Amino acid sequence: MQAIDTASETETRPVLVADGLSLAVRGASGLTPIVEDISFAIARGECFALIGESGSGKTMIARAIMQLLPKSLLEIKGRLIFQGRDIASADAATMRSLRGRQIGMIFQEPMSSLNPLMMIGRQIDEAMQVHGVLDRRQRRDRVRQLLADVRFDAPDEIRQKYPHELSGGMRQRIMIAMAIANEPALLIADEPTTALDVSIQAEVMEILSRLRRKYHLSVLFISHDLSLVYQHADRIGVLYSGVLMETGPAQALIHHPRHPYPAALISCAPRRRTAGQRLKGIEGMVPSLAAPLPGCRFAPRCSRASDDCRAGRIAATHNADGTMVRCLHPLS
Amino acid sequence: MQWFDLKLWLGALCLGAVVFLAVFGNLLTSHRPDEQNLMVSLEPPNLLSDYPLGTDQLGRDILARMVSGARVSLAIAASVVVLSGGFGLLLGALSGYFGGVRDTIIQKVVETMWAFPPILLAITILAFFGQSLGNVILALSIQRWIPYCRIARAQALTLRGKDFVSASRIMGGRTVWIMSHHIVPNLIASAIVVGTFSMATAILAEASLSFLGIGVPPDIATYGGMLADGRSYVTEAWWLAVIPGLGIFFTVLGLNLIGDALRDQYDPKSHLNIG
Amino acid sequence: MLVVLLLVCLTIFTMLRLVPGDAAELLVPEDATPEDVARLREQWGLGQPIFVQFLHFVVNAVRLDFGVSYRFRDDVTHLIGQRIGATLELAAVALLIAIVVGLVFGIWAALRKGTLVDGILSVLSIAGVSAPHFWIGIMLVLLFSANLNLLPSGGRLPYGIDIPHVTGLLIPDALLSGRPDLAWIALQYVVLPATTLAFGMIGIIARITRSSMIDAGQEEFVFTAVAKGLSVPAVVFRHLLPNALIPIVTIIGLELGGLISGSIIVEVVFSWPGIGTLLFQAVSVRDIPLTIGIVVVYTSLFILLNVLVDLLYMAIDPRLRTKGAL
Repeated sequence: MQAIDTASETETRPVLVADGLSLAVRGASGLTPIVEDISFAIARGECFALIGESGSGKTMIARAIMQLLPKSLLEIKGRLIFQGRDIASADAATMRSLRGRQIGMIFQEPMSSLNPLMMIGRQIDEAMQVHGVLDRRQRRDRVRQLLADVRFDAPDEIRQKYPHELSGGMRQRIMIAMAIANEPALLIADEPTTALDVSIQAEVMEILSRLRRKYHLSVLFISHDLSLVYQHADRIGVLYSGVLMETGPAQALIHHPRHPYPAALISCAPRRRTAGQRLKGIEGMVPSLAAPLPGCRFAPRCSRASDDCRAGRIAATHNADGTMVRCLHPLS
Repeated sequence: MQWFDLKLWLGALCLGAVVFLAVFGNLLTSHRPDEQNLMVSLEPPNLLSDYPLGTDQLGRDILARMVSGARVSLAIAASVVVLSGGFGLLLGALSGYFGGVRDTIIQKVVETMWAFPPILLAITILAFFGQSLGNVILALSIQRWIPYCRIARAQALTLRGKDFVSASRIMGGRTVWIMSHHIVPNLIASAIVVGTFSMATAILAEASLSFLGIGVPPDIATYGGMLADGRSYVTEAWWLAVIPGLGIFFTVLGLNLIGDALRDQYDPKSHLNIG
Repeated sequence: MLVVLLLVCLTIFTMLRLVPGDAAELLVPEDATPEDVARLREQWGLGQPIFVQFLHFVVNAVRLDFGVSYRFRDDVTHLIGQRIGATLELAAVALLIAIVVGLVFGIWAALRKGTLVDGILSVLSIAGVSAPHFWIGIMLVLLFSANLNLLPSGGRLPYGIDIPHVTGLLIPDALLSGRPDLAWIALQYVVLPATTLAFGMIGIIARITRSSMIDAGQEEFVFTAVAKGLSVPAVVFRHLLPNALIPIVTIIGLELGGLISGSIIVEVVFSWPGIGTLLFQAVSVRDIPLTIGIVVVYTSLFILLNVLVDLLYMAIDPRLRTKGAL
């Protein structure tokens, strides 16, 4: 257990650092690699969006941070440094004290993420009770306050309801309330709006942004939707086939992507301006990390690929402005 | 798959042993089940002797009585399954296919019969109408047709809406033809699963009735009867209770294992259906 | 439910009328006087149209008047009333054993899925339902009474011991009267029969608990609970188990019939003074009034228990409450 940092150290030190993180799943046929050599950092109060298509391994990263899967199933290599401590190798007791307290998490399926038999108020209360921070009356007040934070007008009414009496959007807001109940340093949001209607999506994103500012929350936002994170993320990391291809400040990355893959993604995004234009796509499909591919994993679908792209592992280029690109022929 | 094979083979082995006993019993022993010989009463089992499974208090050969017991239980159980199965499947199919008032009435009958705890009706029938082989089969069948009725009705209901059945009707297909060509074939797997478990419970029920003395007429040797007889001597002669019990156990175990294996394979959702 | 009860009475009534012989003769002891017979004819409406007779039957049943048992020379209702406590206590203890042991093994097997424990449970539960109750009872008596001399082999209490009657259930009565020592004695007598009765059900409950826990474990809210920082026992008992209970309750409801019919056999094996033994005695001498009375009581009990199970569902699962009538 490390000593408690001074206030200034807490402010400047990144909340989460992934350093050479590699994940593999242990199954009947042995070890299947999911992601390889992932490195990123999330500063305090920063929203870092991890973008990838399905199959890129992004959900597994979230589960690895929280150690939601047993070590017998999910093998973690590399370092995951949370508030200065390496939690990749942490034991169960340490993880339990971190979960729900220092690290909160919200999931993709609000319809099934809440216990159908328990009242809402009780479920939120449990998030605090488990870590023994407040007494019963304080918790009750805090539940009311959290419900107001996530924009419920009648907190006392909602407290007594059961999950099946609420809509998907409402349930997701409850999830957010539960996740931030103990004012964690980091919130992991695993595709929180994917299962919601577009109109509710905006509302949830707005709530997340506001809470982020209020509680100085760092957010790891996992999504497949670049346009969604455009407005809310500070920095973006683009994941392809288990490898991090580019990271950088959100606005810069979207307007001037350096790696061909995010560039292609962005150009494919439907825009309002030109009517009658055909929807573009990227030919081919995302290969899983398990499929053997020497060299750059995007090469088969890349218009800029050359022979040395296919030769061997592409190293990451770290630039002075804090961005990273893993490409031999980046766009300027 | 591995479990399925194991269960299936184990079950077949257990059941097979009992069937073997029933069919070839005459080759295994020369004694008759009711042959008394007080000179050799309460002999312990001795595989090399003339009485491999021992004798009871009246000197009757346990092995011969086990053969009789095997025959009775298998014959009765098989009859019950065929009778209740045939009746239940037919009634269920008709009920589901025709729907309407007929369906409601039949369903009310089902509900009523289902409201009686299992063996109670059997006991009542045998008490009111006397003990005989026929009455035993009737008594055991009187509730057992219900699970068949349910699956047949469910199948008929799903098919009723299907296009090819409507097409058959439009083309003038008769009810019986539609039943036998469309409804029944889809039922076979579930019916076999139900039948296997039903046979197992029928054997247990028959044994219980015989134990209580209200089953098959007492002059026929049955597993249950043997247990009832031998109960008072069990402290001196453990085989009088253990061996007939094992007979029932292996028969039922075999059927349950086979049924379980078949259900896992062909009908995994039906966990809650088996009565 | 009432309709079903009515139809049940109709079924029993029909069977009764189908029995060859004069109904009056059947319902009355051999040494009855002509006045008794006349009174009976009036009470049961014999000689009047069938429909009226059925009406009499139902009315009598509702008033719990089934006539007089000729074997015991006593009012049927009174006889049943004396002994029903014993049956209820036996069934309750058996159910308790089955639920507790079944849940424990089921949860254990679910947590140790795929290991040896899981496999053993699977085998034992199939074996448990394959053995007839009366055999298990005899075997247990052989082991615990005859050989080990640990437990009594029959009856509900030793001769000469009496427990003051409060509810008719011995163990609570003894405790309520401040005699825990008597409760202990009564417990020793009920253990073997209750275990015999519970035998198969333990396996069934364990199996459904196991599969239900595994199914519930795949649900997303389990991840949510873990993400909150709950310990494994808290996740299992506060989140998994309550959600797994619904299929378990369903199965228990389905097994209640077996519990009742099994209790008849077990009572006979252990000379347990309940209505099961009474039924056995009645049937042995073709005591029709007593038989009918017991059958009606058993069936009503069964129906009532099923209603209780339905109510239990509503208590467990809030989703069923808002939907209204079940």
